[in-house]
Order: sequence, then structure tokens, then C-alpha cells
Amino acid sequence: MMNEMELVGRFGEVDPLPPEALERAEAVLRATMVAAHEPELSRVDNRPRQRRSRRRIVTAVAAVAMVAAGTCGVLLVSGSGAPRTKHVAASTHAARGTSRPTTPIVPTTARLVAKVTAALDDVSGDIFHVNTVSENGWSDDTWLSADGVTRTTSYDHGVENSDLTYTVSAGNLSATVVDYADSAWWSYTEPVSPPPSDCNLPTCRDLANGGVPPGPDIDGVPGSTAGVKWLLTSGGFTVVSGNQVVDGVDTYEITESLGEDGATRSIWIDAATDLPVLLKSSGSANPGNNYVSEVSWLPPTSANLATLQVPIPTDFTHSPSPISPPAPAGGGVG
Amino acid sequence: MASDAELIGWSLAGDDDAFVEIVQRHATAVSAYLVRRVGRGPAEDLLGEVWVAAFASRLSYDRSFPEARPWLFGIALNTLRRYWRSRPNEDSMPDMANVPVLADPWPTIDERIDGAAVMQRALTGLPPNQREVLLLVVWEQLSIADAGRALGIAPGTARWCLHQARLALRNTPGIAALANDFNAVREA
Repeated sequence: MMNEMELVGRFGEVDPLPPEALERAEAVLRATMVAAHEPELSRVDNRPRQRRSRRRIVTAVAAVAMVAAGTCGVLLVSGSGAPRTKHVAASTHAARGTSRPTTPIVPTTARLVAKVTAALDDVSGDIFHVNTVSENGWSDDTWLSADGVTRTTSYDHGVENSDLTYTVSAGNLSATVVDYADSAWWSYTEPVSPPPSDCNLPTCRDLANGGVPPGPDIDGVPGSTAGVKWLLTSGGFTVVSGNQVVDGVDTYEITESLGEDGATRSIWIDAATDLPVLLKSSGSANPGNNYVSEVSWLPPTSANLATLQVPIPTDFTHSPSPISPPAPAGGGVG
Repeated sequence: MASDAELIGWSLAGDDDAFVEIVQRHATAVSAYLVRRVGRGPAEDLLGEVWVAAFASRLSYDRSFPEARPWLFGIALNTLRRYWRSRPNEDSMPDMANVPVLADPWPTIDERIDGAAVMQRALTGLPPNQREVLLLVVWEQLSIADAGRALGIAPGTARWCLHQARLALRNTPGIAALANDFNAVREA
């Protein structure tokens, strides 16, 4: 038997308002917000718009490889070709063109970090790609798949120096290295060295726990999605500004002081996808600590996964053991 | 996903997009509430007022409540009250003329109209708080405690209001017959 509550309920069914009506109401709210923030918006709009160079710079060497094998020099070359925008975001970027955000309101740092963290979770299964160029002339291109396969191509002042691919399993690192300086290649497997006890980077923590390192985190350059997240959540970042355009992408900039001689680190975050697109560390007296990194996430398609394999030139010599890098010029260390 | 309370906190810190996210979460529910109470045309006009009023009063939001929907219904009701007060005296009671009628329970148009009239009389005859608790629970699917929160009354008071409203409805002439008609159609 229907009771009085059910009976009343029968009279409460209505067709919803059309989406246009909801959008009009939201526009009323936004207009109110803009009016309320007029002084703040003026301040933001007066900031000089910064356009970042498309020049690719720096890179690091695979951290794990350095810890475990001590190989790999690094070098530099203006890398080009790798796709640099997240796959799902590409069309969004194209549609947005270079226009500035329609609602140029700067979010709080906490809000932005929360959004970026959520976006990073969404791409945790993708291939992480970071291209880093440092002021000391070294650069790398690093790809890391979700299952822990890493490839790092290193350049010295624009000349390809080495190509490394490795995986870590059960505490052992298995690597293949192509050494362009010596026209040779080799493979090796050896235990992963324990990380320094004072290292709190994601790579070190994972290694200390016997797990697979998420990728190289060297000199503050995040080598994995987890590294980017760690950097965001552990840093002292504050939002500098919205309305910045990086390579045609509307971004927010956040920055933190590194506490040495005015050194700073900044991250530019795509306003549409909430994913970082550019990192920059500058102001350090050590040129090796000043770098620019472009980051992106690639879908794990077979074509993209193929980039994790190092091509071995047919005319290169197979070496039975790793070739030690030459001693640094001028005596070097030791 | 961030709670409504977290979004309001971020909004208070200057992130207006966070508040827009709350609006988008609850737009369908709040707009339906307005449509039920004043009809589609006025509801479209009032919805923006509700959002502006909510944004202006977000500082008073008690962030120990993660869910903002009851709070938004309370603001929507205040907006409705202002709207009703602005209407001519003969329309000062909540406008129930737009209460819809299901298409299928009654076999004829005349009976549908009678059913709507009976229900409208029954609802408008209830004391305001009892009517509001009843409609927030039945139409807007709020819990009794949340309905009380929307109205600024204690959960126990809201429960009593709902109980009284049900008793009053049960004793309203025509309601029992209406329920019987529904049951007859359902069993046919």
C-alpha cells in the first residue's frame, strides 16, 4: 500500500532545467566573483607574460645506473622529436591554441597541488618522459614505463654520448649500454647499491625498501611520475601567477626557494590538464644545478613502448664488460 | 575527490574555481528544487541568485560538514522566501501550481487535475516547517538530519516535524482516496 510519503513523492518529479540555464546561472556567479576580485585580477594582469624557450636543455643520467654502475657520462644535444604533450591533452591544447584562460583566477597553492596530484594519479600508467638540459652542457632524454623499464639517452654539448636501458628486479639492475664515444655496447647485471642513508628522494626510498626504483631523481630533476608528485608535495612552492603561456599552453607557475644564493625552482602547470609541463631550476652557483626540464606523459602504446628499447648500431663492437669512462680532464676526483 | 568543505576552504583562500566546482556538483539538485517550488521560468532566474548568495555567505559555512547540499538548499529556501515576499499578496503562499502530476496513474485528465489540487491543498495546509521538512526529505532526498540542517533546526525537531506532517497528511480529506486511486492503478 502506498503511504503518504510515496504519494507526495509522485508529485515531485520534474524535468531538469536545460544545461544552458545552469550555465547562465553559473555565469552570474562568475561575474560576481570577477567583480569581487577586481583588484587581484588587475595585479595578475599587470605581470609580464613570460614565454619559455622551446630550446631543450639538460638532462641527468639515470640515477640508479649511477648508483649501481657508475657508468654514464652525460651530454647534451638539442633533442627534438619526442612528443611532449600528454596524449589526452593534445586535442585540448590544439583547441585552446595560445589564448589565455577565460577565467584568469589564480588558484591557491594547496588547491593547485591537490589538482596536480590527482592528475598525476590519472597518468600513473603512462610512460613518463623528461627532457632535461643543464647549464653545464649535459642533457638527457629519459623515458620510464609503468612497469619500471627506463631508457636514458645522454648528450654532451649536443653530441650523443650514451644510450642506456635498464630494469630493476629482485634487487638486481639489468642494463644495456650503447657507448657512442667508443662505438661499443655491453650488457650487465649487478646488485643495486643501497642508497645514501640521508637520501629522501623517491628513488632512494624505494631502493631502501627493496622495491623497483621509479626512475632517476638526480639533482632535483624528477625522473618519474612519483618523483614529480614528491617534488610538488614536499616542496615549499607558492603560486606565482596564472596567465603564462609555455609553448602555446596556458599554465600556472609555482616556485620555491632552494635556499642557496637565491636559487629557485619553478614548475609550470598546464591549466587545462593540471599536469606539469616545464620545470626550471636557476640561480645556483653550480651550473650543473641549473636546468630546464620538459615533462610529458605518453600512452603505453606498442610504438611508445618501443622507444624504451635501445637500438644498437650494427657496426658497434660488443664489449664483454663495461668500459670505464675516462678520467675527468685536469685530474678530476682522486 | 575533494569534499565540499575542502572546496569551500580553498574558495575562502582565493580559489574561486573551487566554489564553481561546488556549484557544478549541486546544480542539478538545487535547480530541480527551485523548479518544484516556483516553476521553470522563475527557477531559471533564481538559480543565479542562489549561487551568488551562497558565495557571499560561504564564510559562515560550517566546514565540519563535508557535504554542502543541505546548506545550499537552506540558501535556496531563503532565496525563495524573498521571491515569495516580492509577489502580490494573493500569491504569497508557496506556489504549488507547478507541482507536476505523473502521466500514468490516473485514467482521465479530470482526475489528474483533481489529484493535483488535492495534493496542493494538503501541502499548503501544513505548517511551513513541517511542509519544508517533508518536501526536503521526499522530493530532495535529504536525510531528516540534513533537512533540519537546511532549515536551521535540530535533527530531533526535524524528525518531529516530519512525523507531524505525515499525520496531518493522513488526516487530510482526499489524501486517502488519492492513495487508493494510486494503488488501484498500480494493481490494475
